[in-house]
Amino acid sequence: MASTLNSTLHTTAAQTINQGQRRLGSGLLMLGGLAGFAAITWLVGWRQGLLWLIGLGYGVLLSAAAFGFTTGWRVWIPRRDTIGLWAQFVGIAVAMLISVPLLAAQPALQGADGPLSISLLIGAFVFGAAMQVADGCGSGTLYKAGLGHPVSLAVLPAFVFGSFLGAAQLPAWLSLGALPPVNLVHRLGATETLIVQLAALALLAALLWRFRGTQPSRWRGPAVWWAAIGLGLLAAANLVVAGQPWGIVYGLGLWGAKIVQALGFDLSGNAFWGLPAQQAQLHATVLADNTSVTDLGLLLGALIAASWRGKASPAVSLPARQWLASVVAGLLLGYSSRLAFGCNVGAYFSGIATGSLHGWVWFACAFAGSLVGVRVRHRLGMAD
Amino acid sequence: MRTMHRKFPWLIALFWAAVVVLLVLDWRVSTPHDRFAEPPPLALGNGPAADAGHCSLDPVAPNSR
Repeated sequence: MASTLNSTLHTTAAQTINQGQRRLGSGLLMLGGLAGFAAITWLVGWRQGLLWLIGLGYGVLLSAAAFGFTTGWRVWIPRRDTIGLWAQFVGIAVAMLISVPLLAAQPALQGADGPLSISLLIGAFVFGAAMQVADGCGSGTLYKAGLGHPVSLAVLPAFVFGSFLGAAQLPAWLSLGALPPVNLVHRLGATETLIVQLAALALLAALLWRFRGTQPSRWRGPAVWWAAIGLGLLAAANLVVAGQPWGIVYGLGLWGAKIVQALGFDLSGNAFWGLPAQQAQLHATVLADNTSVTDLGLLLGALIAASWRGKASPAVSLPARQWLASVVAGLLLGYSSRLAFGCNVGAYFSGIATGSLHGWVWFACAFAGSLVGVRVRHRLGMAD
Repeated sequence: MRTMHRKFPWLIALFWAAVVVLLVLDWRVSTPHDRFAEPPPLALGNGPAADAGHCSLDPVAPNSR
């Protein structure tokens, strides 16, 4: 009796100490986040400081709700679990309801208007397949790397190098053929764009409902819905502050180009990195780049949320073959996302939310790619 | 087949140390930031920065930045 009581007391005390350590750790990380805001605002200005805060918010929401674009698609393919995809549609719709009127009223703001190119079709398909093998898309790889997931930490450098390489060769891919970008806000007007796109999302949501599975959803509780609404609001704030929508992979490619340049390679003759705007970015601090700052904030935000919940540095169980496959998939993710003018965030989420037709094309091609990617994943023995 | 099933608490510390070191090195080798040429806090009503990059931008379009 006494020993049972002792054991219970020990367990409770250990849990309390663990929880206290976690709260202390996440409190220190939050202070780090605020220090980052102060430093970035001091060094490069208010706009970048605000974008850092928005990035922190992305990371917190993605990590706290385990909001995954990749997982949302993957669990629908074999099990018809609709919640993940529905939540994505809600996030896109929230961002769209704010962004589309803003884009119509403020021509200086920029939508995620990618061209309709052959490279978009190929790149989006490959990205959709690779993200299932790497178990993370643009945002997923970043947030999981931020919270210390070993696989994502291994995938991220490959993603960075792939983004650099894809951007470097993008002009050559574009020579295969491309139509100019089509933005529905400029073609149809704000109200018509909202009606058409919201109706399309509602139709897709209804189809998902019609073919829903019977197993319980991977997501339980309201967290995923709050995260979707929060991400939509932050994406709209991103547009207001940066003048351009939420993006991920441009920043990753820039990091790769800076590292390559630091290793002594001259990129001034490259068809992409040699362009005047890219040369300016390469010689400026990375903190001056909008996408880089939100990416960095996302990394830290994910760690803060994971640390609070005791989910940082998760244990992994992967055979060496799966590690290798994940890293190769990371390289493909980076390369293909530049060919496709964005990843799940820059093309799918932001593209559709700002009325760009390339966002819809990306969605269709990447989903087709994911159908293949899930099969490859199963062949490799990876779990859903 | 070798399977790795463990935690790597040092890995995240190493990752964040590398991020901070790379940021400091980048700051040191970059063109000094002109604090008098900073864009306004909000792009709304002002537009994006002249050289702002985004993954959706067409690099070879005549109007691309």
